[in-house]
Amino acid sequence: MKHFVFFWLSLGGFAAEIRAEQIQGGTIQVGGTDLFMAVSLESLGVTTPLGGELTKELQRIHGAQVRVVGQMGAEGKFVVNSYQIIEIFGKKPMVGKVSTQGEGTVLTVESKKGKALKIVLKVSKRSRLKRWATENLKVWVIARELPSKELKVIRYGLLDVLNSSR
Amino acid sequence: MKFCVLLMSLIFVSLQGCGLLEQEGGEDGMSVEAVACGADGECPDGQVCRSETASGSKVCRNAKIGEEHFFARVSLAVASSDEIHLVTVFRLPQGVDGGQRPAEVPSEQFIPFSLTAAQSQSGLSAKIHRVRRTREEMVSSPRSRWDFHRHQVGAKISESHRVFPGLWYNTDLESSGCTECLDGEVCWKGQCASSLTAKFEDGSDVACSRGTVVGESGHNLGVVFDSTIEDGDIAFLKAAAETALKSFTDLYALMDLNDEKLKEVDIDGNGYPLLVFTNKTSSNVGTDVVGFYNPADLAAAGTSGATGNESDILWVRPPKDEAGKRLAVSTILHEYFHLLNFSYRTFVKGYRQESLWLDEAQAHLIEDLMGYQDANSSILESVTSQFSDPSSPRWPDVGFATSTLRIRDDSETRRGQGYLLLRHYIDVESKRAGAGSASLMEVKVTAQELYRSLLEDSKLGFSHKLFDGWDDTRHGNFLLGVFATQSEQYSAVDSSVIYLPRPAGEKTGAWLRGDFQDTSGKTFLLEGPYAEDYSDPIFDFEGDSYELVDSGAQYFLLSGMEVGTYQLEGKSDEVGIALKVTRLK
Repeated sequence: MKHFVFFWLSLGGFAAEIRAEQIQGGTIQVGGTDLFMAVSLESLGVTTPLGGELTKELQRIHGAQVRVVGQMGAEGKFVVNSYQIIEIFGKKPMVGKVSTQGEGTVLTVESKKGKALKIVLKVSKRSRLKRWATENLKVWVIARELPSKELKVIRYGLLDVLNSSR
Repeated sequence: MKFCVLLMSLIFVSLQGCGLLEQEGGEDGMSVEAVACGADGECPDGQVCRSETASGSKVCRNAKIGEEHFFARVSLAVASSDEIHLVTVFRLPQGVDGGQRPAEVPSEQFIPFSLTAAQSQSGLSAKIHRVRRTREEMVSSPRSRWDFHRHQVGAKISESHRVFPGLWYNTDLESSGCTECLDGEVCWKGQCASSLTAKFEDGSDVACSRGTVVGESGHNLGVVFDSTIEDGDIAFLKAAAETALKSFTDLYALMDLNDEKLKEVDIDGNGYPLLVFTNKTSSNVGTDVVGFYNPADLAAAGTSGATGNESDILWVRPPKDEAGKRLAVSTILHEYFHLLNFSYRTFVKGYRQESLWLDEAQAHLIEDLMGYQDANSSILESVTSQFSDPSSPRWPDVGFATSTLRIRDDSETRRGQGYLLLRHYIDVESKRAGAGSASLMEVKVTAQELYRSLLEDSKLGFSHKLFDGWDDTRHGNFLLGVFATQSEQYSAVDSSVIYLPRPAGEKTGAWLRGDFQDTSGKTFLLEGPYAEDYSDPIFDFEGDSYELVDSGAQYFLLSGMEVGTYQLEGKSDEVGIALKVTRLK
């Protein structure tokens, strides 16, 4: 019986969490000023203002198609708890933290099963990715596979807030 | 010998022209006829060789994102080692796979590309590897620009960061209802008042008093002062307001705002904007903010985000001296442009708020045209910065048409690039109409056409009609103008792309090189935008080492080269990258 009650409480709590969180899809729109950035999600002509800490990352991907998970908060803003980038510039990007391993630059992404996958990137010696790798920053990368199986970076951008020099 | 040099130049120009034509044809994508090919190298720049037909035969077609292709193959003829050439690589904002141009690019994206050079010898391209000169050797070389690079440590001004938020749209406000107010009063919320309490952007109160209305040439400006301002400073601040007001007639003329239009944008119907001198700060508005304008002031009370002020307010820091007064006056003009631009576009026309980069570019251009170019010192210093550091990103470190300005501390450089773009448009068009200097009198008609076009067009940013003809050739000319203006040694550059000369004694016109004095009287040495210095293109171009910030540009300055003909090749997996080679000297 105790087990049943525990199971029931757990299920109930989980269900409440599901009810509280919503998933929305759309395009990120950035407006306002450089001091007062306003980030919103646009879908089928409806604009939803976004809030929460992750808007600092989302304001860097204006025009990207995303799926956001969160809940409606005060002031009519949708507070983002997590997000997934569906498409940037017509391509699905890889999102993860960039780091240095030996001479190489590695992007660590999370697999669908939640495991960390390390992907070796082919980047030039002067690339900003190499510098960001020293700080283990969160980035998005669009790349293509070379015959050598290396991933050549075509376009990329920063999601984290950069504190040190470029 | 002279004939030989001339002939080489003609060949070079012809080759360069071919390169640009090929590239433009490749981007068009509609009118290009299918051309059979065997390999990518046989296709025009911007195209790849792929099996696209039922028969399986290969044809050239426009490259898509992720397909490596040549974006440029250009011959560079060098007839004398004294020659100086400029290679510019850039990318105008583009949609996916070169589609419809967007208003701006998403903030800060980086695109890798490769640049290589080879020397044509007896019809064969041969890679020649030479020993690369060390940095020390370059410094001692008279043909190097390294020795000119002196970073202005500590000289950077902590200039204004103007605020321009804008999310709220509401025109449902009643007219003022004020009858004629007395001296020492302003019309506030429909009543004549000598003191009032305005709401700051964070909702806190700003108690203001000593209201007054200053007038000039039929135009008025209401002025109030917060409680921190001493009575002894009022006359000085009122004089600053009067100085700004003197430029309102020109501002209205540039924006083509007649009395009827001005009535429509006067949100509280009191006949003037209200200038609030305040020392108030908030978490968003720090002490470094010289002035700002908040669209939330214009919204009716009860609207989400509204401050409740329901008035067209210009918030400005009280200057302490004559130098500060000049900066304050230019800031009033800058912010008033924002206010008018926002009000006219959203309230009167029903358009969306202008793209941030273009709104700021126009506001900085207003400062220049009104004779306050010295107040643009921080943006001009940023675009001419020679060393990259977090507080001073260089020209190639930022793109000029991005959705956000302040990614880190690069807002000033982006503002500078946008301003220079518009100033170049005005200068080139004015030159065609016979203008000989950058003064407002000479360029007024062109400037007015620019502002009118942007104000009356519902589109935003780079998708405006004004930029319909702004192709790679035009953008390349703008970038050339930025680099070559005010440099006497770059004598070979077509004068039509150079900015108009600054009139003697006037603070107006593009300023990129030489001594520049800001509003405080400090003098800075501006050295033009940053360029990589190369003397041996075959060895110095590093293949896969380059990255372009989307909508940005990178300069490579080639000097002291050996005589010969070089083949420059640019490759990328991203479409829409352009390359321009120009002989500067």
